[in-house]
Amino acid sequence: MYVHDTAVLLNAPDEAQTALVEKVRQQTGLYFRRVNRFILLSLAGAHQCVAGRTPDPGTMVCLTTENGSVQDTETTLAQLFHEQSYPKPYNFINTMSNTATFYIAQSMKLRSPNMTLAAMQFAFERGLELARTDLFRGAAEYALVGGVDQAVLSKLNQRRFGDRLVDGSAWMYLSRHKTGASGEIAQIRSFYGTRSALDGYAQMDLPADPVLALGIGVPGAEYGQWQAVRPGARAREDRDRYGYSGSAAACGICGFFQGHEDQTLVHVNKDHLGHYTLLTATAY
Amino acid sequence: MQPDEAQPVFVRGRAAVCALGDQLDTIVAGMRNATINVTRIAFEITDPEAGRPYYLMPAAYRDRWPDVESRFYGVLLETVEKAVADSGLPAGDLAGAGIFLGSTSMNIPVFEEGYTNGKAGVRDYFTQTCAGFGVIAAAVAERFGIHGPCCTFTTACTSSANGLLYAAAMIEQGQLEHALVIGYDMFNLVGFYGFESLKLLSPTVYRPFDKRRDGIIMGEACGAVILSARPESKDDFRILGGANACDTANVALHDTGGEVIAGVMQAAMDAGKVAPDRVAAIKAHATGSYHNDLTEANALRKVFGDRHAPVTGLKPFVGHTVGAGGVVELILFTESVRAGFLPPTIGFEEPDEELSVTPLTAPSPVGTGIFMLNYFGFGGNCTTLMITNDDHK
Repeated sequence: MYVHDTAVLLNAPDEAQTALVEKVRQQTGLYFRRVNRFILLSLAGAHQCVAGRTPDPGTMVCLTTENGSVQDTETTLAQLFHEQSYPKPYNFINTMSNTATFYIAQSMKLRSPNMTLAAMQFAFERGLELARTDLFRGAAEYALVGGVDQAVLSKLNQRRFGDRLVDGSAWMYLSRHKTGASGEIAQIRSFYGTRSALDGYAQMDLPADPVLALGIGVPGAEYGQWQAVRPGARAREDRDRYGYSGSAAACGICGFFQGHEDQTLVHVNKDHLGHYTLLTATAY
Repeated sequence: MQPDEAQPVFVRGRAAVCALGDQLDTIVAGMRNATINVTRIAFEITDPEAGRPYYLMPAAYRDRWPDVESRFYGVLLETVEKAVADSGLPAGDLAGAGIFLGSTSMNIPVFEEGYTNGKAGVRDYFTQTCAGFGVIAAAVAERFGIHGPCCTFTTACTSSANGLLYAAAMIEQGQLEHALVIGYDMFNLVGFYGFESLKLLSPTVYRPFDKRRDGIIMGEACGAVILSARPESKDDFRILGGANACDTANVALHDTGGEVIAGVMQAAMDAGKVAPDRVAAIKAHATGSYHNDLTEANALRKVFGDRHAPVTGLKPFVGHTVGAGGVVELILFTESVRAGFLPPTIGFEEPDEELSVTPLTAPSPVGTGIFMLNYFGFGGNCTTLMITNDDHK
């Protein structure tokens, strides 16, 4: 599965929504009404990814997210429980996160598979697996896979991440075709348990000095174990670079393709149950 | 593996709970006998005098749990446990399976309980406590020791149909040997009041394709199936293939000409290598809304012409179970066929000359064949699956 374009869009959570509306208007020439911040982030990131090209009409769109449209879910609950009123129609419709992929398909004139999915910590990797499935079975020639999450400004998150909380929207345009590609996604492998994941990493056929990125879910206490497996690996610190959002992994993986020619990435992430996903990618 | 070396995909374990009950034989008997269990629910928050019918799970079942959160996870885990048992797979065989969960409302009922119980004083209670849509499938993974890839689909009313589509494709390609696919939507106020705000809820009875159809009636349900590259018995259904596409006409309405939906039906038949004249019956999405039924009827005409296989809609038995519908309606349909009949579209009485569809009005005998299952949803999402119980396909 070959990578043709990537984009990483980071937004301050307190940036006015009107600025996003304007950004999307400049990208698409379209003015979107009745949409929320999550949809705008999705549109802005996806269009940034394919800027300068006309996406194939059969491009599969797969949006991955941890929390979806937090803003309209909160608004709809407030309308019900605080205002004792029916939800406003567009607030209700926009609680369904796939409205974002609808507007992407509409604005890019796509009539193709259109997915929105979540997965604890691994949403972007799972989205890439679905894209690979569709590319392989011929359901699509190209795939546009993104990870989008608004900053969830809970007290817990603010305590843990402080001003590193961001809105993140990272996208990748993929194809079965190598011509013109800037890299490739080689493997996405799942493991259960730290020992099993470390063994899997040790057995991977990789260059002597891969770039190792440990995702948000990998605790600091494990860093030494991962470094010890391949001492030649160069650590990549994504947290300072891309901040924290539910789509931090998407930002890190897509960001790797921007300025890492001739290097191979191993991106590791972990969920709270002890599952690991290891993704390897090479930038040409 | 090349596409022509694809592994077959069998539906080898299933369980469901819906308005007709929590046992498959009870559910099938209810369908054969045209049972309807509908409850009128008032809009207590906004207008206590007004209300709409709703298909709740049986009270004796849902009241076994003392609160919403324990019910939410109790229904889910119990249904999965039954499906796993029904699959006949030895303990441990599912350790590497994938989990594909589809839902529209996710765990919003649990948050609503928080608001109802006074936590509404916190204006942003949802934002303060949400931990992502993935927590539901993660709870299943933890309870059953399943460690394969885990996906939660949120594509509105096609959510669990898309779970079936991708689980089947990944098994077909040899990426997985088994997959647990779940469709789950529990009664929730956001959905009930939200669909009313769109003026989509019927105040009367469910009657898809009928000239007097006046909207949807919602229902809650949970369904779970185990898909596998290995069958348990020779009458297990196979998933032959499917397709999905986005109709970009309108975020809440499909193009009533039905062009995109017709394209999806055709792509699904192509994926399953099925010619239109080999389709033995069609489970329509059949929501009972004016536009949706018109769109689907027009699409059927584009694909099949004026002569098509028998059509039926299952929502009058269990309600529109939104994201759960993919798995739940697959189970209702396949269990009826296993019992020897195609279920009718109860409630249908008066044909609509604007549509070219007259659905089944009585149970119809059926043996083996190839069947089409249609699912459509908000956000323009359209999914069609092709299944068969014909060994010779």
